[in-house]
Formats: sequence, C-alpha cells, structure tokens
Amino acid sequence: MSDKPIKNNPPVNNNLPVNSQRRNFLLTTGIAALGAGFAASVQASGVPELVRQQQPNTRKPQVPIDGAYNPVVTLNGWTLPYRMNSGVKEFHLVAEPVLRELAPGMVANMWGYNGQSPGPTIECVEGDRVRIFVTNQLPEETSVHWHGMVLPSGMDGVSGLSQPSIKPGETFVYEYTIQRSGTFMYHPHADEMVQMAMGMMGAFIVHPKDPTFMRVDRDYVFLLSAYDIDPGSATPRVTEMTDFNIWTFNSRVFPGLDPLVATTGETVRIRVGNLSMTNHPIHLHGHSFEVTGTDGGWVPDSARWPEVTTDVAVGQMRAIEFTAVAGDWSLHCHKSHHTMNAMGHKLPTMIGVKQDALAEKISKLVPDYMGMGETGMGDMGDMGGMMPLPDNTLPMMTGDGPFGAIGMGGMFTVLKVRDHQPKNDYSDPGWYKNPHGTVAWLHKGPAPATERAAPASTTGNDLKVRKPTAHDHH
Amino acid sequence: MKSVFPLPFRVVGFIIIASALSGCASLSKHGDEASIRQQVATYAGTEQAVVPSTADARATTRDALLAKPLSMDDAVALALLNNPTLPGMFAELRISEAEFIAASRPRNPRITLGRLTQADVTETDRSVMVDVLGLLALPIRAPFATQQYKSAQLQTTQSVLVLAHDARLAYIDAVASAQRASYAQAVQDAAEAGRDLAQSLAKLGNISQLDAARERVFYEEAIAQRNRAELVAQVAREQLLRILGISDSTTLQLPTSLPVMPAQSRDFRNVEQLALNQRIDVQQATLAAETTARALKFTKTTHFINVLDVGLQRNNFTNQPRQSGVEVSLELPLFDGGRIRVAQADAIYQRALAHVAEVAINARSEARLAYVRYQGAWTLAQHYRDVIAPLQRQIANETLLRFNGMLISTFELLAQTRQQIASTDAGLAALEDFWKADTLLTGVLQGKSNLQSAQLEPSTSRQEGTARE
Repeated sequence: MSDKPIKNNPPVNNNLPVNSQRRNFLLTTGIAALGAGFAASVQASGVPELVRQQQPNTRKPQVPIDGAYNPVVTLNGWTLPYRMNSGVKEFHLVAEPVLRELAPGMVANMWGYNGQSPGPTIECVEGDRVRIFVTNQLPEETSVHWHGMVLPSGMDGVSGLSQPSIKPGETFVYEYTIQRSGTFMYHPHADEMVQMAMGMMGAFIVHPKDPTFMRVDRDYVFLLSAYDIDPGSATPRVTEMTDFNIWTFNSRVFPGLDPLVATTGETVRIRVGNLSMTNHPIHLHGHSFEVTGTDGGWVPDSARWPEVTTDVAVGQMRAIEFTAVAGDWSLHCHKSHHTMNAMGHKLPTMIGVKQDALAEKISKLVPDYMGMGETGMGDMGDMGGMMPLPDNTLPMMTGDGPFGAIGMGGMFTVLKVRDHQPKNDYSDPGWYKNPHGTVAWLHKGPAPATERAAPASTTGNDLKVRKPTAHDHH
Repeated sequence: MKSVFPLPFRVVGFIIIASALSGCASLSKHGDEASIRQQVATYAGTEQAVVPSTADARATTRDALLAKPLSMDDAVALALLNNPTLPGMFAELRISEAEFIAASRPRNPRITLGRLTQADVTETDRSVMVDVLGLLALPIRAPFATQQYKSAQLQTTQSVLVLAHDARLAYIDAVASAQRASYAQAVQDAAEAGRDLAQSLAKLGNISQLDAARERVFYEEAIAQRNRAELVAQVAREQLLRILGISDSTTLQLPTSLPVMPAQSRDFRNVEQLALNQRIDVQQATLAAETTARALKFTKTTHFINVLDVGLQRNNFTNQPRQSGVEVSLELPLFDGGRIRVAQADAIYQRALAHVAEVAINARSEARLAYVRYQGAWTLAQHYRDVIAPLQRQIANETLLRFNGMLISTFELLAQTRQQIASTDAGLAALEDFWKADTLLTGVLQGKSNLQSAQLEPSTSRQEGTARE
C-alpha cells in the first residue's frame, strides 16, 4: 500500500537539493532552521534536516502550494515542515528539553519536540505514506505513540510492547500509511507520566484526500495540558496527579494565548485534544456549534446536535464547527479553576471579614501585609500587576480588556470575529468595536431601594438540631 | 640532681638588700582594696571599677550608670561598685592585713622554678633564695603571716573576679531571657491575629467553629508560653538585681537585646601560657607550696637556725620531649636539707610541687577547652547571624509574596511568622551562648578551676525556642 503514488503532492520538489527544499518551507511558513551542524551531520545518513521553533506566538498556516489540503493553524504553535523522499513524506522530530514561555512573565523548563512544548503539529493527507524520524535528545529513553492512528502494531510506539525504547542519542524511524483523516495526537509512551507531565505532546492532523470534504474557512487546533509548577520555580513537578496549577492550551496560558481570528460568516473549526489528566468542558460564547469530529473520525450530520460546551475527556479529541458571528467571544474551559493561574486552594473565604484592625496587628509582624478578599477576589484582577509576586509567577487572575480587568488565566482566550477581517489574515484585529447601543450600560436613574436578607445564623440552632443530646455547646 | 652552694661573699649582698626592703611594710589605706579592684577591672575589661572614695561620689557614679540602659561592662562596673558582699570581703582583707603588719617581715625567700626545652632535652631549674638576715632579725612566725596575708589577698581578688563574672553572666541571662520573652510576646501577637481572624470568619460562617477553636487554642498556648518566658525573665532579672545590689527593681533599665557580636573574635596565640601567667589558682597553689615549705622550715628552725641565705639549684634532665617550655616563677621559702628529716621534708616539698604541677595542668586544659568552646560559639553565632537569619528573612519575604498572590492564606503567613520568630530565638540562643563562652573564657584565663567547669558545657539547644509550628 505504501507504493501507490500520493495523489496530493506536497509543495516540495523532491529532486531539488535539500537547501532548496528548505527554502520552500521558509517561504511558506517563515520557520527558521536551527542546529545546522546537527542537520548536516544527519543528512548524510538520510535524516531530514532538523527544524526548530522557539517563538511562542501562533505561526501562519503552512499552505501547500498546490492547494492539496486546507492547513490548520496551531494556536501558539506551528506546523512541522517535511520533505518528500520517493513519495514518502519525511518528518524529523527531536525530543529534547525546551524553554517555554507560558505567558509573558513566566517561563517553564519543559521537555518537548523541536524547540517547543507542545511539539510542532504534523500535517499530512489521508493515504500519505509517512516516515517520521525521532531523535532522542532527552536524558532518558523515549518513544512516540501516534494517538488514534490506525497503523501496524509495531509502529504504535509503546516502549517495550511495540518497540524497544529510543535511547538517548538514538534516532528511530516510524513509517506507515495514513488510513483515515481526522484529528490525532502524538506523545511518548516511555516513562509516559513524567514525559507528559514535562510537556511532551503534539497534534497530528490528517486532512481528507478530497480538499473539498469537510472544508472550513479557518481550522484551528490546540491541545489541553496541565502542569504543576510551584510559584517561584520553573520546572513542572512531575509526580503531581491531581493538584495542577497551570492549565494550558498548547502549554500557554491567558493572557499569553493568542486570539483565534475569523471573518464574520466564515465556517470555523476548532480541534481540541486533551492530554491532561482531567476532562475539560470547552465552552464558546456567542455561538452554537456542532461537534463534527471525534477521536474516531468525522461525525455524520445526522448524529450532530447544537451545543455551546463540549466536554473533552482525557485522551479524547473533538472538532467543533460553527459559523462565525462578529464580536469578541470568550473561548475557555468551563471549570472555573482552570481559567485561573496558580492560586491557593486552601484559603478561607474572606468575604465579609473586616480586616483593618487585623491588618494593623499583622503588619507589626509582617510589614507590607495587606488584607485581601474582604469583598471577594475580583480586586485581584486589578492588583495583579501591582502586588509583588514570587519570581516567575503569573498573577492568579489578570489580563486587561477594553473595559477593564478581565481577571482570568489558564485555559482562556478570545475568538475575535470581524466583518472585514481579510481572508487568511490571522493577525490580531484588536478589541471589537461594538455597534452603538449594543454594550451593557450603567443605569443612571435613581437607585432601586436596597433590601438585604438578614444573614443566616450559624450558631446554636443547627448544632442543637443535629445533636439533640448536647446539653451545652460552650 | 645536683646542688650548688654559692660563695659566702655573694650571700652578703643579698642580706643587705633584703634588710633594706623589709622595713617598708605599713598598713594600706583600704587593705589593698584599690589595687584588687583595679586588677579585677583590668581582667574584666571594664574601666569603671575604680571605686570613688566617698559615699556621695559612689552614689553619683551609680546613678550615672543607672541613668541609661545598662551595658554589659556597666553591669560589671555596677556590681563592683554596689554589690553588698564586697564590703565584707574587703573588711576581711583588712583584718588579714592588720595581722600581717603586726608580724611584718622582710621580703620572702625566693624560689624560681624553670622548665626549659632545648631540642629534645628538658631541663628543670629550681633556684631558692632566702633572706637570712631577715629571718634572724624578725620574729620567727612572721613569714607565715606574710603568706597568710598574700593568700587572703588572692582569695579576695578571686572572689571579686567571680563576682564580676557572675555579674556578667547574670546580665547575659537577664537580657537574653527578657528578649526571649519579647519573642514570645511577638508569637502571641501573631497567634492573636490568627485567633481574631478565625473568630471573624467563624462568626460569618466562613470557617467552622472547629477551625476557629484550633486557632484560638494556638493563641491560648502562646499566652502560656509567653507567661513562662516572662517568669524566667523575671527570675533572671532578680538574680541580676541581687548581684548589682539594687533593691528597687524599677531603677534598672536593660537594653532590649544582647550586644551584637564583636567584629573580630578573640584570637589567642598561646591561651595556655596566658592562663598560667594569670590564673589565681596557679598563684594560690604556688603560695600553698610556699606555705608548706615555710611550715617545714618553721619546725626546723628550732633545730637548724643557722640556715643562711643560700641558693639551691636542682637541675633535672630528662629525655622526655615537651611541646613547649613553660616557666613558672615561685616564691617559696627555703628549707635546708638538714640531717634528721631530710627525706621527709624533701617528700613534703615534692608533694607541694606536684600540686602546683597538677593545678597548672588543669589550668592549661581548662584554658584550651574554654577557648575551643569560645571559638565554637563564635562560629555558631556567626552562622546564625550571617547565614540562617538572612535565609529566614528571605523565606519571610517569599512567603509574603505567596500571600500577595493568594497562593497561601493569612493563617499560613502567620504560621511562617511564628516559625521565623522561633528561628530568631535559636539565633538568640547562639548569641547568648557566645557571650557566655566569652565570659567563661575570660574567667578561665584568670579564675579558679572549680568555678567554670560545670558551665563549660555548651548550653542546651533552644532550636525550637518558645514558638511552635
């Protein structure tokens, strides 16, 4: 099956010298090739040139010159270039330690692929023969599992089960023919817990052979992952199982996440894969969407239903589609703690506690102490940039919008739909200019009478009801 | 061993000099009180030990010392000025002096004991010089009185020194325990803030009564700790007041903290030599040997009154290598070998010398130990000051940053504060230990052996201090 000619040829002339092929990539993707010395040494043995990317912003889609498919845009990420070699698409992934900026003000020591966590998105077309070289530059053994892919068992990438581990310094080759289109992922299956906790993962998009099938105007992809990075540190704590404090789209948190951009009326697809250890109800404001793709493939029309939130369980992929409506629309995980950056989860609720006298008392012992939370935590969004925090730590809620503090973090970004956003223009159009009279306004008439219910009693009665035998509760 | 007898014509010269000196003895104004005070002042490192002669001047000096928070040196000065046992000590000394004057004698015979090391050969020289004319001219028991008075002088000096050191130790105790009590107060304040917060939270239903009770019991225990620390501080203060001779506690002001460590540690090249040169117990042992010999001579003079001014020298050569040569000069009475009790007298004299040697060995050992202890205390206190304290401050700052980011609660912040205070308390213990070691080192270089040995042990660890986590 691998011998049949690939119908949708890539934009690369296989007969050109390697450098020319590389120039093609540079033209289409703007990606810089790094580690030339390393690349030169491996090319002699037939390994494709190593390409790395270290900028954390969203890169333009890698558009095939022949229009063989409609490429995806990886949120705060990029697509890995490939070369054709006798009809086989060759990719080169290198597993290595990386530095990832999670948002301005915080950098994480992670493991990833080709300079970043997550690794670059691999894009190919249904029916392609792919040959993926994986070089291990980690201090320990690794492997790559092609999550969701139908392939020979020996290509499945499970260390010990389907192949020997890739030892540090070794390069392994995975080669198979892509059976079906859809949204897939790749991640290690050797010391998997540690390596995924360190950020090793990437998206794998297989486009339909027929570029008109399931065609959309804009096609976004990102992965959900979570890390536990103690405030003041930079390396994820790999043994954490549940209590993560950094919840990311593509190893990036608000306000470091780029917006998703679309033109009014366009059909937009957002593909989400979950490689964290909990589910994430992904919610889009201002639209209703349908889940058009799952782990197993495309969802038939008859099986779709409109929704505004779709839960992406652990290890699942979902593709949602909708028609873009003008505005600035939140796109976020609906677990509210996942739209926060690092915060304490054992804090008592301070609402209603007068803290002036207390703060005075405490500031004798702790100069610079400031009582917080008396009216809630909303003011943290305003104070975010002002209160000194531990090194390399983001405010738990932050980010400014056109009307003030947004007070978010983590898995939160904005879908920006504009009437006149040029096609294929993915640049940030700025804040939405709401038509006159369409923004909630401050009521300026006389204030309505305030009526407050008496606060519920918390002493005495409850105790007596529950413990009727108690004689004296003090 | 060999004996050398000088020629008669040389003896004559000594007789003349001894005779001239012997006529000078007269009653001192204050029983040598001034010189003892000055000696102690020099030892104790305080300059204000010279006691004003009038009661008014004394009161003025005392009031000046009490006008401001008392420093460590001033505490010693005040003790030397005001301690109620001092007048008795000096009165005792004057009684001895009166007895001595009554039996005033020319200068003592003189014995020089020398131990010298040359290569690997050790030579011990003992030379004894006796003022024969003096012995003949004055009452037979006069030398005995001389030694008794000398002994009394040394005893008084020793007592005053002990007083100076006790004052210093009591001062360190009083200041440190008051400081510790203030830390306990700070812990209590932190716990009180926690209790108040918890009470407010519970009142609003934001936390349970259980959690509020936990914060409250924390506070109540902090009160107990503070009470305990204050009691200890009061006891220490009372002890200091007693040594200082102050009856009205309110007149004494103490600083809120112990003095900081000096910029340089005391560096002694030969701490053992220093001890042998200065220690009163060495002097006393020497005097005891002298008294013993004098007693032998006293019994013998009834039989051998013709003992003249002679020099006796014994040279002992051994092949035992010594680390260093130590010279001890002793004034001892000469006894003559005689014919009947030579062997016994020689043994008695050897026993006295052995005692001197024993005292000297102990003095050297104590000096070494006190110096090691001092150096250890210095290093430890420095470690707290330069390493642990800055780290604790860093932790406190970082903790506050975490509170700012709502990563931790006020309760955790307060817990960290309590912990920091506990660590400060451990630092205080190290500093207190340093000052005590400093005082003990001074004492060991001057004092009596049984005085400090019990206190030479490092003080028990106060790592946990008065605060709890």
